[in-house]
Amino acid sequence: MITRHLITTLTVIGSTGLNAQSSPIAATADVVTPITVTGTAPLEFGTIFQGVSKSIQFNAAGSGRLSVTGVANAQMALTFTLPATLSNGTSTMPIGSYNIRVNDTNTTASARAIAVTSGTPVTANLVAGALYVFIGGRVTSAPAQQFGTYTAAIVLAAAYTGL
Amino acid sequence: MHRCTASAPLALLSALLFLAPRAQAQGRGQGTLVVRPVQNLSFGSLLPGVPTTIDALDLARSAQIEVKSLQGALFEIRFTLPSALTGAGARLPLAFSSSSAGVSASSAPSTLVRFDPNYAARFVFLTTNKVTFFLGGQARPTGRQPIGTYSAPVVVTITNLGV
Repeated sequence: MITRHLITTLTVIGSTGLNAQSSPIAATADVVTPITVTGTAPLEFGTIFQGVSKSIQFNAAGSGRLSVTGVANAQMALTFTLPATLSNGTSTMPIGSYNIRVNDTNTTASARAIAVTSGTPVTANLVAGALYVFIGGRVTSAPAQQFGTYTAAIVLAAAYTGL
Repeated sequence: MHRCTASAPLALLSALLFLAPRAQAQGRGQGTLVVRPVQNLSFGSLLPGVPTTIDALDLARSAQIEVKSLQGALFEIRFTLPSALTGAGARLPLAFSSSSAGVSASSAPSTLVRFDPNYAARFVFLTTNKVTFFLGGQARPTGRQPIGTYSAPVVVTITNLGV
């Protein structure tokens, strides 16, 4: 079918002296700055007594801090991975809650609370090309909590979703 | 990748243009054809990992090609489309859908007749002697797309098949 059509087309061109014009245009794009996520301070609960809960506020010394930089005005999805426990070998200590705030400047004053579910993306904007994240939380030590240093990883993944 | 498909209907141009059966082109005279590139297809600023689609009717960013001829002229348009933009030592994939191209005797959205730029299309000037072709598309930068300016040529070939 295609062959027959091509022959017909050639016949048409041959019989009428048809002309063709090629006009170049261009397709262009600019790829801009990728997102960069930097952890600037760990969420440090410090020394905890057995059987006692301890909270670190988002604006306190010891709060976790991260920064996200990219293209100004871009919209992005932030996905937090928030551990439910701290671990020391086989011993664990539950993290009861997190208090997460964000701000367009690197200050806790006027920082906005965002509702975060671990593993579920939340939308945020890079209004001025940067977003600062402040993380507080609360841990509860059991009465017979084993002595030692407990750790866990908080992960923040950021991806552009639009301009 | 292009295919000549004039044996099947490709696009209708309502009252302005009309898809010509192949037989109408045979044995007729040739008209003047003027092709003028108006503007490039500009994807603008792209975020790594975020696909960006330019609609044919996005007058600020779609490619536009003006074609003038005699009323009654039959002509064929064929886009040679790049599969990717290049720049920054990398490729940036492009995609063109069945509605990425359009043609109109004006820039009014209601008069645009869409067609697939991946295939050749034939048209007749019925009640006008000037039309504008519009080309959109989708750019698909990867999440690790290098920063930089990307471009690629789009060749538009207009063949005058006669009056």
